[in-house]
Amino acid sequence: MTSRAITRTAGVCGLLLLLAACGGSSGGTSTGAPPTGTPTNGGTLKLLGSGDVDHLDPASAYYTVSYTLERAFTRQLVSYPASSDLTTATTVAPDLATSLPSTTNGGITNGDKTYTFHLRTDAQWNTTPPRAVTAEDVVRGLQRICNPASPSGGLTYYEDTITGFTQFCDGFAKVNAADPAAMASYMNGHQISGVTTPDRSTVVINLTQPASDFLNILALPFASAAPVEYLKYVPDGATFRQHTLSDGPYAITSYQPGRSIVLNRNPAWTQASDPLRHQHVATIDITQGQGSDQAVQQQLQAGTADLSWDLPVPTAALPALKASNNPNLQIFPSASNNPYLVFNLLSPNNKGALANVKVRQALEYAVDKTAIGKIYGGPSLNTPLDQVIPPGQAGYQQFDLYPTAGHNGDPATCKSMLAAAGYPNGLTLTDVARNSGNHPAVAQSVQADFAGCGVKTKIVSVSQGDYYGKYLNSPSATKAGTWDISEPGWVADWYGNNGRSFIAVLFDGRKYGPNTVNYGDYNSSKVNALIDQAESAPTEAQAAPFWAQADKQIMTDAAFIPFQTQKVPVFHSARVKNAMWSPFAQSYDVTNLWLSPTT
Amino acid sequence: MSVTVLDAALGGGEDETFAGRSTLASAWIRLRRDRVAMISVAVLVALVVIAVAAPLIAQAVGWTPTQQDRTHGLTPDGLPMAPSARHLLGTDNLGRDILVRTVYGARVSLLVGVVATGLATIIGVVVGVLAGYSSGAVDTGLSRLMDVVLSFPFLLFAIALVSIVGPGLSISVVVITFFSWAGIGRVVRGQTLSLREKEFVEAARSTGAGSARIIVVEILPNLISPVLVLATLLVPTAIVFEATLSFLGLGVAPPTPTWGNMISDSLPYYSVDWWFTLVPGVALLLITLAFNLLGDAVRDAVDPAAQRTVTERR
Amino acid sequence: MPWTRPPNEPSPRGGERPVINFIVRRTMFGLLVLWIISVATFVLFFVAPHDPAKVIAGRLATPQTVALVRHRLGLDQPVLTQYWHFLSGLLHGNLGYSFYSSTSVNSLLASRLPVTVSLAAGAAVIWLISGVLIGVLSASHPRSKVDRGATVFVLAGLSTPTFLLGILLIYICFYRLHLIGINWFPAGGYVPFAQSPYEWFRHLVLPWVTLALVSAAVYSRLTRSSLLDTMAEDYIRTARSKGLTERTVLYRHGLRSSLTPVVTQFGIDVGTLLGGAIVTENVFGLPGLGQLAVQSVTNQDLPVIIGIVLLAAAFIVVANIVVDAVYAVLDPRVRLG
Repeated sequence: MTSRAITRTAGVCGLLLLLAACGGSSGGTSTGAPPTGTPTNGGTLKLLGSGDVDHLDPASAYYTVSYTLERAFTRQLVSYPASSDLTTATTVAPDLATSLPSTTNGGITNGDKTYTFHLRTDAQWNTTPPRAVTAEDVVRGLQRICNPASPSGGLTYYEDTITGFTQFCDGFAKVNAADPAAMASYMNGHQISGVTTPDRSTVVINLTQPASDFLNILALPFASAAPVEYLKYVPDGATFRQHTLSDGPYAITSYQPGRSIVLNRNPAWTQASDPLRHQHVATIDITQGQGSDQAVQQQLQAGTADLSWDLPVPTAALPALKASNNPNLQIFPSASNNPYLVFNLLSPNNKGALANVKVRQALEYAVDKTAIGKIYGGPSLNTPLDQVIPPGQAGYQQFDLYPTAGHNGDPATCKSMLAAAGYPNGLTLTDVARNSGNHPAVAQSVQADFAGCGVKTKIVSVSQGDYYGKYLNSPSATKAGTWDISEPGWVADWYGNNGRSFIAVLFDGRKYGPNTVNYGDYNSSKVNALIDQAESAPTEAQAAPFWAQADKQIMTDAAFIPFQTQKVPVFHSARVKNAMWSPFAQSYDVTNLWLSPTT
Repeated sequence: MSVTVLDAALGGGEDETFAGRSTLASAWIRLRRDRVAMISVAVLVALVVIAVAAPLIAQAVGWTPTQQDRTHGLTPDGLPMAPSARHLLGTDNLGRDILVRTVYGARVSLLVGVVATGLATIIGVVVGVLAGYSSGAVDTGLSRLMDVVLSFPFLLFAIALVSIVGPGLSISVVVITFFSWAGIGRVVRGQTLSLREKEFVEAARSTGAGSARIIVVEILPNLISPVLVLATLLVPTAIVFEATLSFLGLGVAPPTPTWGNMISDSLPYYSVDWWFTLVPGVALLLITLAFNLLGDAVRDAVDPAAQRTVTERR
Repeated sequence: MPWTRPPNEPSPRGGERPVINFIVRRTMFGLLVLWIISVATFVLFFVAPHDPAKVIAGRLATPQTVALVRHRLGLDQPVLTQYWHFLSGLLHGNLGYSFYSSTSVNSLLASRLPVTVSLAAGAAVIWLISGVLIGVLSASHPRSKVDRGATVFVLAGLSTPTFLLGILLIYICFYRLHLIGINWFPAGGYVPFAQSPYEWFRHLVLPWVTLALVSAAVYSRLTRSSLLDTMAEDYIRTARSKGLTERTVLYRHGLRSSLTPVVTQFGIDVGTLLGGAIVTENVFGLPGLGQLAVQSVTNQDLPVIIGIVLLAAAFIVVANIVVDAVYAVLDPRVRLG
């Protein structure tokens, strides 16, 4: 099947495995370890996968696979280096900016609320003739985030931080989405009040309050620089998709929706202008429509293709690959909370049992997390998780409020606690589960676990579309109790200082509505206050303790049951060299690898 | 040719006298003599018995169909275990015993296969005969109805139906029946068109027989051949259809086992855990062979002249 | 009496040009069928609550964002209005634009059709020929070892789900052969005939075999059964007693009228297949209509769904018209309906 939302392809994102908490540094400028071996230029990199990107327009592209593409043909003010060292790979570095603004170099001023960026002058668009990337292009990229034709899913990050962004977007929403001229005139005639360009190579951004993760937000490809030519097209429309321009090492030369994407070298790009990327392979050829992850794996092993576009390494293939120490298989640590079990706190079933914290705390003991891990490939790939924040992210502190031996679950404790909470005869819960991938297996595993605790679980098997639209994202269905529990997953949009894309998104009850990811409507004023404090802390070191406290509170309230954090296995064909892990693409960085000459 | 006329003329089996035997009795005697048919019947009976006795078998083996063997049911990497003393036919991807699941799966698969086939055949024959025998508006209307059903978007319909009603056994049967009857209907209509013009039908008309009598006495018996072929082919097709529904996530709800969803669950593991696919696959093959060979034999038994004519030449 | 008439006289209905009349009438009814299918598709799409706008808008999208996307897709209008827009577009030959890629549905269908036609045509030829041949073989030696063997073979093909067969073929013919150095079979994908006929053929062999193995059973068994019936008829006995060889009797006289059920089934199968072999295209990564159907249903991309459904329905309608015409040719006693 083809539909690939982030939480599904995700499975994992690579990050550091450091035992020390509060990973990530602010302001690191390393550009990564030097490549191993001598690069060979040339050749066609072949990627195989099943689905298409969700959007080709960087302003709205959100799928993980889109990142692979955007790495090759877009640039942002700041981005991430490729590196075998995972801390480096997830530490923001300058891209179009000449250096990272900080309080020490005068880039961050005004009580941590004003960021000043100076742009490189040598970055170019592949127009005819090539033209420099300017501050206007950067601002245009920010403006296009809320265009009415294809608005970005990550809009909240910008509306919550940049001054005047919300007002700009409210006005933009009223413009006719089918008329490029109207949209262009709005963008030319209105400014985001918090964003100014004193000259062609300076951008100044003002925030409503300090945000220690603002550089991470700017590194998201939504705000990629956009050339003036984009004003001629409806954003992400069919014509736009055939006329993309590039300031990166590759340009899209062919796009057939659902079938293939081809990129070739961008002649306007120079190595001197780009500290983060290279231009080794000549062509990147992506073929979609492969239904079977095993067929893709077989082709990678046979050498008729090089990388998987969006399909994981089949679990069944892993033991043999690991046993034979196959050098083309690598396993990267990650920062995911996938899957987890969410409680519907609004459910009226069982006389509102799930709203009772003692009931939820009892159920925390029921789950055999090791068994869930086996569904995803066993303990070498999956580590049981007992809290919201996975290791390596800001605010992580190891604790387990509901310990069981070997993480195998403890049905006896669960049963006695349920009885003490007033349910000696157990409960009946409805579990809504997606009908593809590993989701049915996870639901059945949970069902068996809960049965040991005296809780009867009825599995409702639904399609991906219905899962969110009809159940989890439907406040009316949630309030009516059409579902009691479910097993979604979550991967944050960036790493390290990512509480805004983790706890805030999953557990801030004030934003509950039809689009929330806080599916069960957990709403704690204590946690909400902690979120506010963390988000407005000026540095990561100051934000981390608030995230940690929020984590503890959420687990004390047993708002959900975390299962595990995952490692990602990735495979490449034998001729791929210098394959460096890109945690955001959950694949190898196509702009840094090369192909060894045939055989 | 008409079975009744021929039977009277040729007298049933090779060493039977025709006096005093009904068609059915002669057919049954011929069937009994057919070894392959008897084996098929035995296999089918055995499958039904196994399906009915599933709980007893589960008790004897020591596992229930939904019981996940958390200690020895999976390899450390989470892959199914090969057949062993503990699990005679191995385990599936959640550590459940395959022998027990196959036995329980027989219940659902047999039910789906037989019921869906029966319903689809009955509807198909009724509509097909009506369309083929009548002409004008009735034929046009029914034929266009069959066109609509044949063009109906299967995937969308299955997903929409499952979305409203939820996956389950009855919905699977409804979907499979809905998409199978029109094929039978078209073939039956075609046959009826030919039969309608044959001499014995003319003869019957000229003796004043009404349409209903003609249909039941002259046409239906001569439809037995193709209908039997299509029906016996439909049984395994229906079971595989359920497998496809499971493959698309729409079949009978987990954790209930069916041969279909066992096959589809086994797909990620076929290269390392072949028994997981083989066991339900072999079960499916057995039932397919049994139904089809039995169908052949029934056809030959009911209409022996064909067999006799051809063998005569040798 | 009105219902007795000599069997071979052409029907008085339709006058001097029964063929033209037949085609015109069937085309009109065909359009009616297509209209009914379009209504049914709309109903099926909207009857289940869902929201493609939300998926397209992205996972953290604000309600305002989702509303904007919904407006662009026209999903905030009443269903009848949406249907009316679709219908008026259709009457101008425009099937609309994909919710996802905004590409015109016409161009999507046009680019995918050759793949599905290639797949369907090749497979149909293989299964028809092999199925009928096996059926004839079985019928000429009924209940012998050859008959039983052939029966088991084709039934094994029938009882294996297509997806399993396809995956196994890729594993054996592509992967394992590759390990021992035989690289002839690809793992999937499509090469247009115009680009390289040889590669086109090479990439389609395994998908053809997969489809054919599953379908050959039906044809061989229908042929066998039908032939056994026909061979016992009076006119066959007459032909034999005239001294014709068994082979002539079989092929010239027997096969012809026993083919009616095979022809009907073939029409249904080819018509259905032209709408896209969903599972096979998926397994072999063939960018045809079947693959597009799965993608569009998963994505809830209504314009593409309707486009494919209508195209597939048109194929079936045409196939059935052709089949009905062929009846009249095969069996002279049947008149054009």
